[in-house]
Amino acid sequence: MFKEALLNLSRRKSRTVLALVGIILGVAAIITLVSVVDGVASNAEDYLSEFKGISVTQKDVVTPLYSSFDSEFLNKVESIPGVNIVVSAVVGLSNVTEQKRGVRFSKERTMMQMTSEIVSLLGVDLKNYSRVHGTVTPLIGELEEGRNLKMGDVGKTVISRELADNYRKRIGNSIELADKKFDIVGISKSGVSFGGMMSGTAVVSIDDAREMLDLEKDKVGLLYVEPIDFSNTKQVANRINFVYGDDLEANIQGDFLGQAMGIFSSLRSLVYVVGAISAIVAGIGILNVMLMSVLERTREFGTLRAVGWLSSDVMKMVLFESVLLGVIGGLLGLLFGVFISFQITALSGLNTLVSFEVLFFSFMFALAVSVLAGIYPAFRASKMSVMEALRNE
Amino acid sequence: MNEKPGEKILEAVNVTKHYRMGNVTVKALDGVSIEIKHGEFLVIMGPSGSGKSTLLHLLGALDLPSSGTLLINGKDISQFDDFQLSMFRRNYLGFIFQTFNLVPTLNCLENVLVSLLPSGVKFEDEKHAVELLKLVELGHRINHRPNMLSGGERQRVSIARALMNDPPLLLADEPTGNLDSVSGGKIMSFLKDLNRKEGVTILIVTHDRDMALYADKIINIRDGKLLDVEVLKDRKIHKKHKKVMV
Repeated sequence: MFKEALLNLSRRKSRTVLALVGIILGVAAIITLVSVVDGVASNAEDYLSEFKGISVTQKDVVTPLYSSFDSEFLNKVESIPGVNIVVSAVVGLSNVTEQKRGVRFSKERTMMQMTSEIVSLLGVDLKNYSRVHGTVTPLIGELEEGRNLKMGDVGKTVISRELADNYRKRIGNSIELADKKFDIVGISKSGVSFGGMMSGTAVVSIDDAREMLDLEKDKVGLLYVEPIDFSNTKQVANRINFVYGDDLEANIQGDFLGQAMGIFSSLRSLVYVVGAISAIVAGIGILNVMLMSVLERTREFGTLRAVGWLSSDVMKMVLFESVLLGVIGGLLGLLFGVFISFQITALSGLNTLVSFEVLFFSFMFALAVSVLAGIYPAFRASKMSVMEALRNE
Repeated sequence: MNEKPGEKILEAVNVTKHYRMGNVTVKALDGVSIEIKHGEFLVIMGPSGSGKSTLLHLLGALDLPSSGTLLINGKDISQFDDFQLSMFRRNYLGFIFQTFNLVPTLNCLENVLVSLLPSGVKFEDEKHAVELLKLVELGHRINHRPNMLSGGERQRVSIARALMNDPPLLLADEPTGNLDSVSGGKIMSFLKDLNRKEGVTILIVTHDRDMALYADKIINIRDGKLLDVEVLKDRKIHKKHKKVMV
């Protein structure tokens, strides 16, 4: 019966191939789309998980840029049980006031150039900054080269990789921010972006930043809180919110991670829906192929019934053909989808992640669609009157 | 099957068959009674539209009569369910069609075995099928597809298929209708041999009198009614057609 099903499918090659292409594309579409989303999500997870600790801002501000509160809160937060180190910081936007190297001077600056000159400026209180945990720079993530700022680093800066690449800077170079020269002592892997469209982040001492941003001495915008035990981060954040909830808002970076992952997960469901629609279209293709093939073979079914096949035997054979289409199409679709995912990574550098889960689900989907699409034609084939079928020309 | 010659194998009692075509009811068969005994070689003859094919379909349990009864070894066929009907057709009947009705994707051997495909083919079945193909002189064509065979060869494959389950009764609907007279004569004399040597009961429907002359008995049908029954002395006719064959 297996052989016959295979032969029956090969009898109408072009039609079978078209139905197969439908399934292959459906399955490949699911795999490719999901693998791209998963790849991006996994990048974001890596990126966001670098940020540890708690950030405290003024309550109910949209971004830390608008956050401002009394610097006295530093000592208050420090005295909360479980808190190890508190670094006060100010946050603002600054701009690079030098020409990019290698870029020809032009009087008319484009929008792109102007926005690329804007940087997120993070002024940190150096007294506690050097005591924070390991190679992870608070608020801007892992240090890639050089060192963190330490006590007395006035006129020095740690910039993000993006900013360094934009202006072709290396450790030991200087960069001009708001008409003030800073020596670059370190480069961090990632930066923070408080409003999008910024080309990077620069970390300087809080005094330098206050001067550049014209801020009062007794106000801070942000507290970075490191708990004694990182596994208690959530509890410590809750305590800060409980005690100073009227004025301040403590967020753990993981919350943001959770939110971002939530977005990716809904994006993933969306992609599954898109894939499912293409698979259903493929299913209609199978339905068409099977219906046509059943109608064409009416007399053959009549003969089979006449030589003693049960109507259920006929039904099984047709259903089997349809499932065979689904299995072959599904397997080829898996190969094709994985191939495309790898090609995307190879050609565009976009990270893709092909999970076992997506392979399993897309294959099961192809199978389910082929079974569903086969049921009606199989039913029709089995319900034909033997004699009518034999008379069919 | 080990029924003795002369016993009734199949009996139609006063069967009618009506078809509705739009608002008109067509009486394809109008009260026909016949009986088929073991070892007989019968031909049902009549012009097209006489109801001869309808009668064959009823006798082959492919269709149920509008009224009247069909008895198989004394059992009423209208009481059979789908499974029993299928088993009856598989084990009791062999069908031969005018248009051969071979499965184009299967080779000769598989076509002979086709009735057993759903339940599984055993080695003995395959051996038997090869013997049958040798019997119909197609031993060298076992792996050929139907489209590589001539009409006469195709009909011989379909005879082998009909004989696969050693049925006591062969039903043939215009078996020579799509063949030239030489191939047709060969098929008829082969069926005749089968009837003489193996004792297979054969019922053929045809409108071709030359082919009908191979039979022991010709049942003439007109307008859905039994006209008469001719009993033939077979030896003479057999000789007459042997000339054509050579």
